[in-house]
Amino acid sequence: MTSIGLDHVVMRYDGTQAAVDDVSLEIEEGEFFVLVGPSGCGKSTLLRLLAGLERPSSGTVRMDGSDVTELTPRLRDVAMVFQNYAIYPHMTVGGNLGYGLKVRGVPKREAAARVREVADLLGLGDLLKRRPTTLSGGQLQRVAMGRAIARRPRAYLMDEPLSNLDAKLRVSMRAELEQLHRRLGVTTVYVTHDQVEAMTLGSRAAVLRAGELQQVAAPQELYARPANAFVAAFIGSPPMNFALATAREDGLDLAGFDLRLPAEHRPPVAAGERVLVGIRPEELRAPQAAGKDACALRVTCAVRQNLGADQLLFFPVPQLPYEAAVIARATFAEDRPAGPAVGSGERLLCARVPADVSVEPGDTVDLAVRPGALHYFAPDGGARLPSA
Amino acid sequence: MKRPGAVPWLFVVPAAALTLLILLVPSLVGAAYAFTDWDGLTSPSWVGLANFTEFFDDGSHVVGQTLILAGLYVVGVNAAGLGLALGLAHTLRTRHVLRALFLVPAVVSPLVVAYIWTFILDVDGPLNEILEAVGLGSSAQPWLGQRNTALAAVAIVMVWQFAGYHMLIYLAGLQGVQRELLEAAEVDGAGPWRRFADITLPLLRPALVIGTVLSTISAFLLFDQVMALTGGGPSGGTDTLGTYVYEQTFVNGRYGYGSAVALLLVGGVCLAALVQMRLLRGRRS
Amino acid sequence: MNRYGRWTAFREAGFWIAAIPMLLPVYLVLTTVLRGPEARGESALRPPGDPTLGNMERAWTEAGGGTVSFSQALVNSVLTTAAVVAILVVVAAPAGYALARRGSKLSGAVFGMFAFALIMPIQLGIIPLYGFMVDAGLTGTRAGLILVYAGLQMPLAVFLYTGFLRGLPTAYEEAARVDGARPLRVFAGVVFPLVRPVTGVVATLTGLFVWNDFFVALVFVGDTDKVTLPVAVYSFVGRFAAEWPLIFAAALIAAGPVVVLFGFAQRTIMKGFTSTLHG
Repeated sequence: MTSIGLDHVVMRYDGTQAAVDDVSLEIEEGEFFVLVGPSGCGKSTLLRLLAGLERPSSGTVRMDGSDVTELTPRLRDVAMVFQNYAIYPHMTVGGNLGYGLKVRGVPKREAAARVREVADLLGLGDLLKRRPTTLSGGQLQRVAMGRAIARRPRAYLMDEPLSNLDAKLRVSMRAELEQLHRRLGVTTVYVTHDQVEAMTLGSRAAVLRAGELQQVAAPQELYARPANAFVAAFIGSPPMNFALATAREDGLDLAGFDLRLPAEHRPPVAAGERVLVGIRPEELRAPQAAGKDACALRVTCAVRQNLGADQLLFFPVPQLPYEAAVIARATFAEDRPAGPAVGSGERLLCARVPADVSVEPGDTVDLAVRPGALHYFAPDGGARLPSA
Repeated sequence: MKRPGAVPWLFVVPAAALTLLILLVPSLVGAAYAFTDWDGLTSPSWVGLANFTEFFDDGSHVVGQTLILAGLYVVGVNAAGLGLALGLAHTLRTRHVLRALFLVPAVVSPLVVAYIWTFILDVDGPLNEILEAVGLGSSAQPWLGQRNTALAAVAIVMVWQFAGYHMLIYLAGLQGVQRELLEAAEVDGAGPWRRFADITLPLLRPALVIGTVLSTISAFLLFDQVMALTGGGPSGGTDTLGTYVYEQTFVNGRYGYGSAVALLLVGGVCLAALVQMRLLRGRRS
Repeated sequence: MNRYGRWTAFREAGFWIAAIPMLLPVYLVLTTVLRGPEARGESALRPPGDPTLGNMERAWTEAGGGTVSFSQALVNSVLTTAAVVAILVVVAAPAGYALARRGSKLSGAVFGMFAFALIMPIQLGIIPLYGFMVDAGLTGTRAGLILVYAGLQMPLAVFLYTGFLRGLPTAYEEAARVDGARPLRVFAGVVFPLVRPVTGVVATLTGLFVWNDFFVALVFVGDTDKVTLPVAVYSFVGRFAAEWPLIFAAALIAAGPVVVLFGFAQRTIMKGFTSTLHG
């Protein structure tokens, strides 16, 4: 088992903006570590740097404490699962599983036994003689995994391995991956743009934006205490609601709602100043479910989306001048997939409530939010502000 | 399969008619002449397989020379084309200029290229001049004028002209080799040579088949270059099937005999094409 | 991977050295052509001391040996090549379309016929074809030569169009048909613009063949004023044997236009090639 470290790694392609900008990380032995971020954030480049497919412009890569920055992939002895699987099309499934062993000179007997073992582990036993062109997407995915496992490498590097599967298969493969990791215990670095995978798979995750590390933490911590507005907006689905609020002596003026807050949950800014407030849709609840010191909000439902167990209620709130621009800048909206459409003069916020609350568009709805569920960020730059 | 709005057959008629009229029907008639002694003047009479037996007795040196030339050319042009494609596929800053440079000879008339090389390879030509200048004067020789070098010289001129064209075929083939496959092999522990042998080369198989078959066919049918470079000489030493057919039919007026040799030529080309089909199918299964 | 390092620079230099044999003949042609008659005996390797266009002029005006001048041969080559390419595109594209879209046995058989014709060398049929053309009164005419070239190159053109169209999704055509367009309209308005890459490749390959071909032109328009450039060069060589400055001037006239055209369209041609060959 192997620990992996990155020290001040910079990756710059000829004169362009850095794809990876001064990233330092420690990945522990046996950890399932997720690199997550929007496309173009540098997560795949980071993985390729770990594999040795790229050399950093500066900085060092360590494995088990020794510097491997200049080592070729062959000498690093890691295995990689590619997004498009990169199954060798001219070899059988067995040939694919065994190629790394053959190249590394593992004796034929042993190689065959290990291929067999991995095939059984992944349910590929009947497919060993088949050509990749005859396999389904899910089977190809397993072959790609199997090729990595058969090698018994020091670490697995996975580059969006589930993104080419359909939604149902993805869920079951996710569970299987977790099980596999528990069983094999090999250090795994997993790249994804899907925050759900980051939340469900990793023991820890690093959120990246524009080549820079935003936050490294356990998934629950990312969700509960995002380090900045970008992480807050990126993690969680549907995404967090944002509003530019004005601090007052006893609480907040938020989009026309008067929120009275106990001292320990007040924003850390002087009365009259602006603060960016974030509220997760699932924290906007029916009053009876929110607890007794919750702040009430009476809104008018504009759109309702049924999710089965839950429903999403979208309601308009008035918008301050420049508010949309300030929020977009603080959350780096251009780096994220587009959120709900923003109209002029007002915006839609979202609440996630149980499906049994009966609401129709046009109805007035009473919602409530716990004071402790309010996240505060600096309107300028989006850094997290601790509550007072 | 009649569907509403299907493409009408009329679309195919002009192309099919022209092909039949210009190529296929005349070839069929030519195939029939192969069994006659027609000389273009007197009316032809049936001679059975006499033309073929005559060719097997008299023409074996032509077949041999064609095979030697084809061997030299096919190996040379494909090795050169593959090497150029591998080197110029990416990374090099001037790769586009270099590709164009290597491709230019392929767009020039083979006849013109051959004349230029007749000049270069002449006894008093620039090649021997260069050899003398660098102190290799003893190896200067009449490249096209002696049996043991003429055939190879023709092959080299052809390789010079068409290496760039084959480069194009292999560049297209290399587009089918995804970068991830090479990276996967690299992570699996394969060095540069193994990656080439285990990944690139097998995936280039369709391109290799196309390149080999095309070059084989053009070596079999070779005419212009030989006519311009050596005229089939010295003393028939560079006669190939292409020039032999021409000489027998047009110079000696032996239409029947020439047709018989041409028919054998068609057979040879078909055989090459069949081999191609087999190899391609081998890949697909 | 693929980063530019010292080894790459070394490789780049190597390829330029390998390119010297590609460039040397061009250099030799130029020095020979530009050398005046007074410097006859000089080595072709030396640059001409007093460059002159005299040889080009002589080749252009004196050429042809009684049959045809080079200017006339140039016109012949342009007209013949353009006509053949136009016929091939207009006739082969719809044929390829029909063959790609009709899934019947008959269409398979017709495609097989074209594939067979593709590997059929002209040597076997050329004598009977010559007979047909004599009977039709088409030997020695430009129309006859164009017809022969079009027929000879048709299989290749049909083959390329069919192959490309088989890989092209039918959704565009279906959209046009749903909009009520008839087959000819679908073809002209939707399909033909989509197959532009192949049209480029067809025009390049067949155009080069016609422009550079020697044998067919020699047989069908041999001693007439309809000869194309390679035949003109050939008869020129026959007349001025070993007069290299003149022969190379003729060669430049024959090869110049294609090389210049290629220089301009090089990128497009290569792109079209890789996309067509790959597909």
